[in-house]
Amino acid sequence: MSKDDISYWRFKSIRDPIHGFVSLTERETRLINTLWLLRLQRINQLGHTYLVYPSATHKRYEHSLGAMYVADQIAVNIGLDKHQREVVRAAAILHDVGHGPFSHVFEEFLQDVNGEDFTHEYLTYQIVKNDEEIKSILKGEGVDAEDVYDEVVNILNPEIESYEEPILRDIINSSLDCDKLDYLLRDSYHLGVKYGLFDLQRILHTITKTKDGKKLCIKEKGKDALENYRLGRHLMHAQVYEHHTRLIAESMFLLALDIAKENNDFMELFRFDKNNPTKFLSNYISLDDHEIYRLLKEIKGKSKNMIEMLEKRKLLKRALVIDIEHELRDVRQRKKLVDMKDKKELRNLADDIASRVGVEPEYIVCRNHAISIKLYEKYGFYVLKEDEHVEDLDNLSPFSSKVKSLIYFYVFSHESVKDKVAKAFSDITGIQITK
Amino acid sequence: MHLKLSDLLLITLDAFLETTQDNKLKGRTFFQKIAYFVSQYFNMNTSYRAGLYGPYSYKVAYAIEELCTLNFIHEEVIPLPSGYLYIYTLTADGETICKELRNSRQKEYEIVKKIIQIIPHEQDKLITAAKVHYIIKVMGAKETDDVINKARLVGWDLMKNEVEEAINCIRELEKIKNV
Repeated sequence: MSKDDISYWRFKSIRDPIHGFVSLTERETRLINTLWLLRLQRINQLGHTYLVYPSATHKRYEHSLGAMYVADQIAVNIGLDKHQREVVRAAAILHDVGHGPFSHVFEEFLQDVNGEDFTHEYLTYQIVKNDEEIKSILKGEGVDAEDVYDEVVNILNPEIESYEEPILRDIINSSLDCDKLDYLLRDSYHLGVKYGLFDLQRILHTITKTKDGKKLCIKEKGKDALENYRLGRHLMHAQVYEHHTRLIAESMFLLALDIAKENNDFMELFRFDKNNPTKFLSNYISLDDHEIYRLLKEIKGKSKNMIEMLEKRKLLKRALVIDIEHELRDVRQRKKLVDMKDKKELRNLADDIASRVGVEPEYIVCRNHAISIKLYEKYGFYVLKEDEHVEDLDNLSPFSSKVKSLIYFYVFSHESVKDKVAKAFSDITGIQITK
Repeated sequence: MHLKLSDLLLITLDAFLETTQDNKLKGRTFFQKIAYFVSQYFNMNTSYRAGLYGPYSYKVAYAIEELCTLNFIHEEVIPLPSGYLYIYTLTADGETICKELRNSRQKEYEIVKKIIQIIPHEQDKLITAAKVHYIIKVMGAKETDDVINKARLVGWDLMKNEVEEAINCIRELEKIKNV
């Protein structure tokens, strides 16, 4: 079937609460039915956020479809050809297959085991590159479609810095990518909050590329829509993604994983060998939110207790919150606390507090947490001015903030010892809490 | 003891300010690029990527932000006809920390001072030097034409003479050994 034929792009249509109908080609229909994609139907988009917002139970799967829809809209609006559209649509569908149970929080654990570069993006790349079924679909085997395998693998490869068509990669991963343009609206919809809402249509209408065709940017007339989008992103972080109850739940989950590290059989499941990725991937394909809970409960003892507490929503409580900037006058104390980012250091402090207040160590968790207030994205937001000069949105924005970020130091504890934690913390660190 | 990125940034700012008459570091991009060279020397995992104005690290941006929040660095923002000028100075608290770092991190201070001596202090030249360094070290370019071609892949247009000038600067930097 020709790509000029509308039915090529509408082999199947799926109802989506955010974008209406999302149409798929035959190849894409096969992709969304692979085990790797279907696994995303069992992974919460927002991890343990449902413990704060009960309706936050939407999954990575529908987000992958939404991201594909947005990627295609961007591709059409910046004038990509049909082959490029196919490449970018396939990359968008697959962009999250590397996510582990409960999404981002599991990445922290995998990085502990396999090193800082072991991100979900890296795993996505490994999966797309190595899975035979995905490979055959991308190569167009068994469907009437062109081979897009190498291009999709290259777009998703975080190890390659330069890519012949960087604009395609920008659509998948940049400040203005299909991922964020979908998830802000989707998360807001499912949670019932309005913070992440922005004018997607205006952004799509004004999205363009730089003169050399290498980067995505927004025409100057769309800069307010862009401002709205980045403010929405910041507010979603402040209100949802960094909510302290979510932080507690994620910390408890991480602690359960950390304790489980002592179990060799468990650890073996998560060690990645670059020269033999198959072993890791064959376990990872069946790993979802329920499966990781099952595995952790199978290891009897403290990991199991922690997971059961999460299941019963018996969460640790905020025993101590220090706004480092405002509450610590002493310069050395401020530095001491903000420098305490190393996991081992934080664990030692928690263990020390636990022994002083008389609870088991797993009932105390220390966490250093910063919320960035500035509205920059990792790679900036680019605005194409009428003279075709590209400017960072920061330089055109009427908004600025004197506050750079909020830095909090938390101690979470079992409710029974909540009142004793502050004193123990002060005795150990010498830091007196004024509030 | 392991050198933290925040400490390296404080050392860098302190060492740079020593070379100025007005005790000010002018320009957010400028700060990013000095931090680029310094962090590369110390093999910090700063995740620099090809940005619009040369290599850019969100980790460095966040670390500077954090130092401002902690009141160790003061960031002044001056509106200009086109955009803003960001000016960085050390606060009294920042001076206190730097004073301690000067004792505990003497060796690192010396190296940072040497790097600052070698790199251009003119923003455009510094950006070019950082771009060329990035293309050689990260993207594996071997010689001038290769640098120019690979630069295009990430949207940077470089002229032959500026690449050659930058390569000379990089060669000088490579001579710095542990002092």
